[in-house]
Amino acid sequence: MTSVSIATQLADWRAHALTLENEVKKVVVGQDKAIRAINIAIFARGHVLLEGGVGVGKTTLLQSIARGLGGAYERIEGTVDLMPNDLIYHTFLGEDGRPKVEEGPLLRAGEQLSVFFFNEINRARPQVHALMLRVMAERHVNAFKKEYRLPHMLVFADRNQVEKNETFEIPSAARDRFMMEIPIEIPDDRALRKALMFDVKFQHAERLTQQVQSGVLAYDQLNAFSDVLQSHISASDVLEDYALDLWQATQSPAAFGIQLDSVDVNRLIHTGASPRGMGMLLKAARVHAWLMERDSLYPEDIHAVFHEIIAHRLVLNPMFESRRTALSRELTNQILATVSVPSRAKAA
Amino acid sequence: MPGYSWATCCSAPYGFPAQAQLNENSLPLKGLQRQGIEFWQWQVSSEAESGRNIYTLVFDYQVFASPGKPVQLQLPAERIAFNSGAVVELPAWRFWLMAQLPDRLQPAKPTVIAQYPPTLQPTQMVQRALGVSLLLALLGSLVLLYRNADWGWLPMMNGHFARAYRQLKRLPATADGQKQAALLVQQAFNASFGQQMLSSHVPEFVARQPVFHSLQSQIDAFFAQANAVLYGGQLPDAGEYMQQCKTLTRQLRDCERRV
Repeated sequence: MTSVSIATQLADWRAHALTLENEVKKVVVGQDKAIRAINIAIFARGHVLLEGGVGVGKTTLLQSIARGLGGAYERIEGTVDLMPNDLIYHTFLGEDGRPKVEEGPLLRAGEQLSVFFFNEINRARPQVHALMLRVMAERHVNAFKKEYRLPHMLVFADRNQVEKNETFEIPSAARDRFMMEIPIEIPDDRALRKALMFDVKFQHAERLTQQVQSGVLAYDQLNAFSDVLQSHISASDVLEDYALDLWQATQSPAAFGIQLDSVDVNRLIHTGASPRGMGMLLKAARVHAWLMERDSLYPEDIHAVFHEIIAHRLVLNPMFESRRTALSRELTNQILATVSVPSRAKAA
Repeated sequence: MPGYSWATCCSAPYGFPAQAQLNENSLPLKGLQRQGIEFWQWQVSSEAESGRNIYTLVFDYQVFASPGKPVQLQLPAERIAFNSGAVVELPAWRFWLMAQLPDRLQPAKPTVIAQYPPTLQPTQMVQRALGVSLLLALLGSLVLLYRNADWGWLPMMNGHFARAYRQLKRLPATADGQKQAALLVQQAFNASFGQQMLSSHVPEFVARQPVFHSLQSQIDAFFAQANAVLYGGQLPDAGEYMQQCKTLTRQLRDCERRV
């Protein structure tokens, strides 16, 4: 592949990516940041954990994305009695009265599966998490004595943060499999809130998502293009040093002079970001640089995805776990504000 | 003895035959006083010319008087005799006398005419103007020193950009120096902003510190170039870039110092 064709390819895909964003923005208002983050996750081929209250538009957002992305969209609801096999198959009595077995939502679309939505994943049992996380990592599953490959699948999981009854907290190792945790928040803008209340078009989610242009992206070419994109965007040694400092700051924030108002940072962190997490950070940052029409990584690219990629990976000491969402977000804010270019060593 | 002496002399040439000799005994005696006039001295000189003797007699008189008003006096008539028996009559000689000074001594003070020194030119304004000029010159020198000098001991010369400027001046105009320059200025921005500063933070930076508002476009341009130097992109010429960094940092330093 020549450099000219790569440049053309990058430009064409960028145009498609921005079209997807604009299409989704037409039906999901006030979530521009989340839409951009999901777009980045799609091109970085990372799974996404959505965090937010009930009725904030997560499902509409995902259905819109799935429509623009093309491919098959499957969904399952997390419940306390959900079992791993419910993802793989389900049984029923056929018209002839005989029991029948059919592929479950995970296998039904086969390789055409592009978006799998696991609603309220924290209501499902850890066994279900285990299977799901394995499929997310390996993108294939064995069932019915054969291997089902799911090469284009992206998992979007929703975590209900409001209700805690009959829920199972996702362990840190499981959270680490998700590239991003994206907060979906109610927009602050009064005009948007008014539109969400009084504009009847927002009351019919299914009709709304039909307005999104379908198949904007060729979902089955995303993996190949992602490799091209990742190898095309370069990082300077200064930026590498900066990223290393950021990583170290997630492990030893006090060493960088980071302070939080309400807690002692020396006791806050149990485990910082993982190598996989930092790899995903750079992967997503490269996508952001590409969307910004650059060939090299800037600190802005890391900043753009740092919260979404790092915050849910931080393992806090148990005494702080109950406040982990707020504390980890505050900590990532402080890390970005405090750790700077040039790095401490070079500045000295 | 207070008084005034006044003397006059009279001379008159007379020609006589050579054998006629002046009888000096006929001349008035010295100290002879007549009509308030004292004969003081005489002098006689003769000169032979064409068989004749020409006598020149000089009589000196003195008057001891100082009249305040003119008075008429006269020199007495004199009779000059010669051995030959010839006689020459000198007539009386009237004259007026008046003292050139007042007729009586008076204290000098009332007659003293006051002597005023010449009017002095007013110099206060000139002196004030000179003082102000010197003060302005001193202030100007201090301002120039404050504005142009780069020493760390000057007031407000240890700001983030002032330190960066001093370090920038020592960097070579090479690719490595270019990178170090970008890092130095970036570090100064970070310190001034209070956190890692990115190009997207420039509006917030100038909003927080309006003193830098006039340089917003230059700061934007710096970040565009610094990103290319530090993270990848079209590299500017090293020398030109260094100069731009110095110029911007100096301007930022001046803003920082409220110059």
